Amino acid sequence: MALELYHSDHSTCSQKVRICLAEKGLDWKSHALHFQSGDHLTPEYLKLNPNGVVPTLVHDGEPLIESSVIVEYLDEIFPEPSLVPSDPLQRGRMRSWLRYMEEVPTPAVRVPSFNRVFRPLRYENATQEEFEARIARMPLRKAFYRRMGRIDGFSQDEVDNSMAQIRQTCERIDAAIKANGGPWIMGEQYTLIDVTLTPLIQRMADMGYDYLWKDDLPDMVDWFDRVRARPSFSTAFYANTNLSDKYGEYLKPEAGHDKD
Amino acid sequence: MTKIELYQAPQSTCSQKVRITLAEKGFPEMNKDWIERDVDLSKFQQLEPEYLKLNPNGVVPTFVHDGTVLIESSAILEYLDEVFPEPPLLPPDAAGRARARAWMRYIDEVPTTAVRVPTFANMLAPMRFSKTNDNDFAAHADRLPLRKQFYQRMSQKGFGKPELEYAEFQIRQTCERIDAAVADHGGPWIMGEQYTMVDAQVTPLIDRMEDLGYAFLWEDDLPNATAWLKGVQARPSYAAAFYPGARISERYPDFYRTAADLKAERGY
Repeated sequence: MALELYHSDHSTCSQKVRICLAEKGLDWKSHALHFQSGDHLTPEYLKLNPNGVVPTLVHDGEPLIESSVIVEYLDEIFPEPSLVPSDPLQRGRMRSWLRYMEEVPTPAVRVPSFNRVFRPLRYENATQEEFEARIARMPLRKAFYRRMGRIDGFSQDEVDNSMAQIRQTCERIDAAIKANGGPWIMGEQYTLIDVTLTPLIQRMADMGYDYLWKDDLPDMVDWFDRVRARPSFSTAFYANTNLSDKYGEYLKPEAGHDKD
Repeated sequence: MTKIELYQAPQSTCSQKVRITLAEKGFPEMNKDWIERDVDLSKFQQLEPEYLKLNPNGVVPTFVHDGTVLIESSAILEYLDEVFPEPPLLPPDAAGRARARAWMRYIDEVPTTAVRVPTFANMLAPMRFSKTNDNDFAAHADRLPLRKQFYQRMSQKGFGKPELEYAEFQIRQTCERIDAAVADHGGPWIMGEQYTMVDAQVTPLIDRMEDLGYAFLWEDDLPNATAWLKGVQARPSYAAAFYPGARISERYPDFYRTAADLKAERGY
């Protein structure tokens, strides 16, 4: 039984797979990719992951892609402790949450992450031709980079909208804790929803956006404290996995680009 | 006797994929095997307070099984496969299931969002918003729990050339991947011999593109994808799900405008 993870320290989708691996008590071999040098767009990596994104899990030689799919696979192959409800209706509701999480907070978190850190870090010193050549090589999400632009970053409308999407996500977490009695989003069982939402909220907190929830969503605040107190959190968020650990200078207000 | 209700719209691709799956599971006939709760999207009934209680995302479909509510069409397909296991619509092994689900996430992210662009540019934007002023249009976008930004980028007129070209690129990529998967797995379906919910999920999207006159994206040089589309459209589940009036060209014939019509009008 060999598990290898192609990932990056600070990618939220990598972090969710690392949390899941830790919850399952699994050891794995690390292949760290560096986006700046384009490790994720080499022909060799695209053979493993034709979408050119991280993470990719290789289990006994079999490559598995899409982080939400990888965590469900891990739960099927390594069933203890179970991170998926046993009842089909509850499983359906968990998957509704996963689909919401993929459509709403996952892309929303990218907007401030790229505006403030990844765009200046990766593209500000590149030429426009290099920026366009990089986009041309990407299998997915070209429109995202074109809307962002090399210099301007996302518009104020896009920033506002992503903040509203994160706020909506936090309101839904808060309401779910109340409705299901907590301590986790689906109630007594810690599930893949908690796993997948944790890195997204952690990213927002790390960039200084906890004002979106900390004053008036007490159940969500307590939930976030609880997920961070789990051993899986410290395993997945090892040193230098938060943006502030490595790229703190980009997150200072005087660094600019903070449009909210 | 199990009771299945579907809040849906005939032309919604996400409703169509649930109808295909219901038919594959032995529930083909609307208002006999399952009960239709019609949601008129042209009247924005999906944003009424009563409906938002069922589906806080303000979209169709919403599935109700013996009184319990489930949302998100991709989650509904997996639920149907679990509670009605025959015939199975996912591979029997965990790695095969993961490959099918990776396809489903790609379909959610890429062609599902891409198909909305020509759908709105060719038909729905002029039909619903040509007489709407900027303030009313902004107010409409504000009412949406999801996808406000989609409307903001679209405007009342429908998307511009860059968005349409990118949507065509994304559909082309999807068809290339279908073509390659059918070739690699030996066909006739995307995962090989077994017809799966991947086929059910992507059928309404490619069917919509065909209906709007975009078959030029695949029919000349992707023979496996072309044959796959004929194959899924020949299944009884397709005839059940695409009952008369279900294709968007039939639903809104007065507003039907093909890819060629749109390009001629805009001088592309």
